[in-house]
Order: sequence, then C-alpha cells, then structure tokens
Amino acid sequence: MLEDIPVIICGFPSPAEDYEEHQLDFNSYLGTGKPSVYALRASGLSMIGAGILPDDILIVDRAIAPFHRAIVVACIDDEFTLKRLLLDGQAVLHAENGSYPDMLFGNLQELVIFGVVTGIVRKIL
Amino acid sequence: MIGLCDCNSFYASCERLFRPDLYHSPIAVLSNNDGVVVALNREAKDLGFSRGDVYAQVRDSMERKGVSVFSSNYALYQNLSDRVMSTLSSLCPSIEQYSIDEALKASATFRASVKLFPASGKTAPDDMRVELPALWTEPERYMAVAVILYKGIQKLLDLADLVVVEPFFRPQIFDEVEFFHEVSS
Repeated sequence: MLEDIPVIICGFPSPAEDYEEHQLDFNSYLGTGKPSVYALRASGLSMIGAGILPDDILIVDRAIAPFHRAIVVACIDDEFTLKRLLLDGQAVLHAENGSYPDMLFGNLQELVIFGVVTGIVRKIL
Repeated sequence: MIGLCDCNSFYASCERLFRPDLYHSPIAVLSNNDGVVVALNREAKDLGFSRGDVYAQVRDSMERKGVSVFSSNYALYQNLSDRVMSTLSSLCPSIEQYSIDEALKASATFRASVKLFPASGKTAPDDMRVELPALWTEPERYMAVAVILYKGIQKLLDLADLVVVEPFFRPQIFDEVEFFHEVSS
C-alpha cells in the first residue's frame, strides 16, 4: 500500500550522520553471547580481596583453559567454589581473604574446573 | 559426506551442568507433569531404568537406588541446545538441526535439499559411530554435553524415519564420511 513506500527526506542531510557510533553493547563487551560463557552468582567472602563481593554476577568462560593466577570456578566436595588458581609446581586454590586457608593439589588434573572467570557485574541500585 | 551428530543423554547432561554433586550420579528427567521418564544418563540406565518408564511405577525404586529425578526444564535445555548448535556451526560449514539434540552435518558441496523429521527415539548401532575429530569435543568442554557422530546417510535416514523430498538427492554419493576418521573395530 501507499504507506509502505519508503520516504526520502529532501532536505539537507544531518551533518552528525557520519559520526554515528554504535550503542553500548554489554553482551559483546562481556562476551555473554558466546556459547561457552555462563553467568553465575557469587556468595561468600573468600574473594573479597580480588574485589568480588557476595551477590556479584560472575561471567565464566569454559573455553579458556585454566592458567596461573586465573580466578576459577572449581568443584570441591560436590560444590562450586570461587578461588584464585596458582600453578607453581603444584595446583593451589587460593582465597583472596586471609581467613581462608589455601587448598593444595598435586596437579591441575586432580581438580575439576568449571570455568575461568572473565568478569564481574554488580548493580549498586 | 554427511553425518549425524547426537548429544549424549542430552536432558540429563543439561541438568548436571550446574550440579557438581551429580557429576557421577544417576539422573532421570521426566516428561511434562512428571508422567514418564524421558531421559536418563548412563549411570541411571545401568541401574536398569529405561526411557518410557512410568514414573509412578519406578518412583520408589529410583529413590532406593539414589537416582536424582528432575521435572523437565525446557528453558534450560533449549538454551544449552542453542549453545551446542552454535558451537557445531562454528566447526563445520553446513549443519541442519532437526531436533533439540541432533544435527545433520553436510559438506559444503552437499547441495541436495533434505527435509528431516525428528527421530523416533531409536538409537544408532555402534558400527555407525565415527571417531570425533579433535575440535568436536568443544560441546563437551563448553556445555558439558558430549556428542557422538554417526555416518552412513542411507542407514541414518532409515533409522531416523527421515523423509527425503528432493528428486536430485543421491544417497550413494554421500555414503562415505571422508571428513571423519574411521573407528577401527
């Protein structure tokens, strides 16, 4: 019908048009559209020294192989736990909070790692 | 070349992803309204349970044997299915999905148009399995959902009750899966 016909504006084109930028896209910034990326919610205080607070949303990528000093979601005693992974001869799960002891493992193979944390999201209102 | 990719115990694998306490436990998933068992992982099958069991009849036995039972959570399964299909699509140029946990892989030269209808719950025999190329372990790494690949288009079509509606389709050409390594048996 007539109203479906596209409209051409005959005036002077907007001088700002060439300077248009993309909208902020937090999915692409955080990688949350990738099939290997999951969002989990943090609880507890063991990673407070790394700036991770209770109720923070953790962005976790399972495509990244665990590496020295990565913050990882590990499976310990049938539960997920968030710790910094240290690979220095042996594998250590290190809490960023002095009141939690390190957990020591012979090597990385003795650990089940769910994924590597790539970001945190926190709303304050 | 053409192959069928099937996810292992798909619904049960999905339920396990965020439950490290169940990584080695028997799991059963029920149909809508918890009527019958629709999915079991290997551990639950080994205990003697089958797809199609009426839940009311096996409830006590499942409880005794420590099977974790889930009502179906289709929102979760669809999300993980999308992730698996998107991972498979990144691994091979042409994929046709025909159920939540099955995809058909075809080569770039495969031009025939194949209309596929969902499988009727049959399982392909082991001699149709092909070894998984290295990168195809990505669904297991990303989604904790392992996949199996099958070859042999004519057998697959028979097996899945697939209907081919394209006169130019010539199955004999695609009966070999050069892309995959043969499983030595």
